[in-house]
Amino acid sequence: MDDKTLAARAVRGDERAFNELFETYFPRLFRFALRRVADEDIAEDLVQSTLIKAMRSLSSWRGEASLFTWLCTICRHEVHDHWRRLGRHPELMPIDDAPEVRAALEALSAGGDSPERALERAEIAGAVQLVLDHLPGRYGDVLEWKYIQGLSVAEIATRLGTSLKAAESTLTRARLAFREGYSSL
Amino acid sequence: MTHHDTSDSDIERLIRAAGSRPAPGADRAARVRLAVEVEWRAEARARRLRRWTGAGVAMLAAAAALFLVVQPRSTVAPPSMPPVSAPIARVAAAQGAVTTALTGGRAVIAAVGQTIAAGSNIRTNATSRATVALTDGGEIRVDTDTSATLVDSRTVQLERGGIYLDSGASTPGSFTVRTSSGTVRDIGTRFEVRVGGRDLRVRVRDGAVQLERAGRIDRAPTGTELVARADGTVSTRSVDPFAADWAWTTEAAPPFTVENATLEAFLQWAAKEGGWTIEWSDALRQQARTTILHGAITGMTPAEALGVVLPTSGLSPEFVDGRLRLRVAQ
Repeated sequence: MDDKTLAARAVRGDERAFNELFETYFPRLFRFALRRVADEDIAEDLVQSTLIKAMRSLSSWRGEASLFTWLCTICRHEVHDHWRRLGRHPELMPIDDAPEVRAALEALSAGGDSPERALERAEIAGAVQLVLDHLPGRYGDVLEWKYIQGLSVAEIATRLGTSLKAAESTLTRARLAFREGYSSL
Repeated sequence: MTHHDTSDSDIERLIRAAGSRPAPGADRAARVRLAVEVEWRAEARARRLRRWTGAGVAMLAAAAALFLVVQPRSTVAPPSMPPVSAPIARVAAAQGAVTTALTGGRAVIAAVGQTIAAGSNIRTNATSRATVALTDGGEIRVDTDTSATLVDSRTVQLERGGIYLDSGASTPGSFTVRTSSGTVRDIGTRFEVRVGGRDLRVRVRDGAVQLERAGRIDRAPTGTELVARADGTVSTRSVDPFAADWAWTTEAAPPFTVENATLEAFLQWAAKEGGWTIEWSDALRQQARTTILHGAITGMTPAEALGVVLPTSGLSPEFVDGRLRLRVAQ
């Protein structure tokens, strides 16, 4: 189900659409918030507020930006309000807002096992995961299922509730989207 | 490999090297899902009602009236509600006319020991109070003029009046009280939630709670009262855990049975109900552990009961800023 269909059905009260929307975006939003507040409980609260607000105005989402981008915009406001209430600024620089990402990516091909190299690799891993989170629909999940969990295309098709051919096509599009997203970092 | 030239095999290696993205815990997801689902259902219902109104449903006034009464109940059931047959609580105390009723069902007078299923509404009148013991641990005390629904063993919908929750030994953060003015979540605590008009008042006796309202989150530690008003403002003030404001919660609770109880058990009950911290020597504590009491304290407040019981045990109480100091009577 694409974002527009998903949102339209959720607005109409379709429970399956709500479930898919929550399962697709809650983990991604949670990671998005966690990168900005570095506290799981606070991230949970902020994401809950974000999704509650999103439910109230889901009918106003027109699809100009992706659904995740729209949710991230709401979440950014929640994070901003959180820091404002505390009267201070975040101590962390979210990786997706940091100009150092490009430099960290350059270090991927560099060898060595020093702590500095390990840190760089961790940053790169974070960047890869960030790209996965920002891919449309369930592309990020599909790539994880394929390359980390080692699922076959048939098993991915079962998880997605689609045909084998549709799953293959999704995987191809997911790889393409990842390549574009990663290259744009 | 450069990041500008990523083949399919590079993508595979890159994603494998990065590893799985961290996932929020299932309990976290369940908590957020419940709150968001409530909002989603409310929005969906409101949209349906607006649509029907706009379509001129009023022309069929009689039929519509019936439909509107039935429809919200049948389609907007609280989420995650277990089967109605599963008892999730029992009535531990009922003073005066207390009724329980399943959604859409007939109200019955509650009796002590009666089990309560998920989805049951508990109602008190101007003179009645009750305590409900949850099978998962913890209890809910229901004040006068209150209507509350046990959505499940960890979620209460407070429609009117006031309730007092003691999460006991249950998992911190496990209780949620929903009201039309906001949602209150505990973080291992005893607290009171009261709705009056469009205001929501939360008082924390110990532990801490979190009030979520219109996207705003306020945390209240021990000894804090939060009042969230309809205009969006939230005010805070101190409330002592031993203040007289909590007296109703003892009145709603099952009476303490003094007969054959140890003095230690009695003192722990009195201190908990009175909101005091006991200060006593090891020797006195040991003495209290082996002293067996006889008699009854029915109808007494914790302070009154202490005044009656302690002299018979050769002890005297002194109350100083929320501390209950025990000494050997001179």
